[in-house]
Amino acid sequence: MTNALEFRDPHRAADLNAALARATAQVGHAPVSLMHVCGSHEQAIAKFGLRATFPRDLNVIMGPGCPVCITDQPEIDEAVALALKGVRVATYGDMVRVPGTAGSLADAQARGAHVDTVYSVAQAIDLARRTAEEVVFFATGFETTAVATAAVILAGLPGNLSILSAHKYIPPVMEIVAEMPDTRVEGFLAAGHAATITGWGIFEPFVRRYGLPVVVAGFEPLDILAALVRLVELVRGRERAVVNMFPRCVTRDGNLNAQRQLWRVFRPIGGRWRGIAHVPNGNLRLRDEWAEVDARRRFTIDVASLWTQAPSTLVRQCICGNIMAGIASPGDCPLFATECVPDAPVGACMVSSEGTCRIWHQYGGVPNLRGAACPL
Amino acid sequence: MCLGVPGLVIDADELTALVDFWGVRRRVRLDLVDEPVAVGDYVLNHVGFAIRRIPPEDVHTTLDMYEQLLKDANRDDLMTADVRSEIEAGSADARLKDTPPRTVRAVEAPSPRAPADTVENGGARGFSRAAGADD
Repeated sequence: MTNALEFRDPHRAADLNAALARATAQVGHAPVSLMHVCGSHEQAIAKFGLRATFPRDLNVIMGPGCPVCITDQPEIDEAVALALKGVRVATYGDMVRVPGTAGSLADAQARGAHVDTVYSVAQAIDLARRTAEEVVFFATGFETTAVATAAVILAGLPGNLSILSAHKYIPPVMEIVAEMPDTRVEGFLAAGHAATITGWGIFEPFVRRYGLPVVVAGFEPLDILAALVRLVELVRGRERAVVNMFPRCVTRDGNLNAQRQLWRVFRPIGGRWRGIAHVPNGNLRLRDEWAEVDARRRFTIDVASLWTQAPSTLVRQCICGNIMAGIASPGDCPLFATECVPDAPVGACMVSSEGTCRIWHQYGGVPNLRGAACPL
Repeated sequence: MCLGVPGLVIDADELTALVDFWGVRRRVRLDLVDEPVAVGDYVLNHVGFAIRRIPPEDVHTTLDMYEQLLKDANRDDLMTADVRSEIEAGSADARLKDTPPRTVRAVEAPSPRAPADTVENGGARGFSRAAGADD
């Protein structure tokens, strides 16, 4: 498909592409594999057709950067179980359609449950104030949304609102991916707005421990290209460093006010991310002092009752997990764009606007973009 | 959802700010932003919260991508839809009672900190309808 959008500065884009090709060729081995961990980065890469301009020996893989996708099935089951027992559940848009073990929140809604889509936890508060019902906010997303959940808890919630936290914390999962034998990642592109909150300094221990460079990148196509050039240069020079290529939003320390609120409310615990693995310190749970607003303490959540049905054959074929781990592409999945489409998604990656499959379905993936010049 | 959306502060108290997103006005919360926010500032917002005051010298660059997205992309474009969701994350209940016409001049006078051309060229380009949220 053609892209209506064009580069703000095509000459600069051409220069960056040339630099990227030069640096990639100088690395000394092929292919060079880099990973980004942000759905918005994938959207920009796919939408602006950047992969078509990458050197052939450069792989830019999307890792576990889709918060909807990595929310694990048992967490969705908790929300579905609450909804089915009559509690009103509010959550961010795409979460409603993501399948759990036995259906999604949308399926629960079809069976009469009250499920509301909100764009902000503040809207869940408005909703709770308008009703006498018990409302649970199914809180999903990375640190960028977790800080908002933390802020409203600290400011005080209506008595009939509680929080079911499935928030995730990105830095620990980068370690897991770096350790995966099948994912040969040589450097990470870190998401600019998550780093706006955490600061780029948070990646320094990771870089020291794993010897992999990290470059913080913005979201404009030129931001992404410039960051990739820098990252390949770091790989080429075997430099263990964090480089901030998004200084207009990201500082070394980040947003300390937001971080203070985040850690006053949440504590990191280990837990599964869909498709990835157990991630030590990857999940954010409410600290004990907030037990009163913790939906897991307020309600008995019977998820086991949902686990009587076996997942469908289609669900068993879904390779979302491998895609999020960076060891498969949507094109490797037999269901992609056949049985699994945005209107009838089999897996989470096809549901979310930040899911790799959904993005590739809309904008086209590598083979489409490389076109006739490079028959695959 | 990670994309966030920048907007111009046209009114602010200690807890919230009324922010103009290309003619669509929403109230965002200020709990998370790490420096004082004043009328005329641009802030980056995520899920209904300002998370950063954008330095005036960076406003134009920051707005540019969003303006292209809102102006040029199809309505069903994923990235554009995410930006629209970010705008809708602000509270509509707190909109000004007398919502002024959604025109390109709906923004207030530039703050002394923001260079005039930033607001002229960046904050108020002629596609307020493109944001679509109020249509």
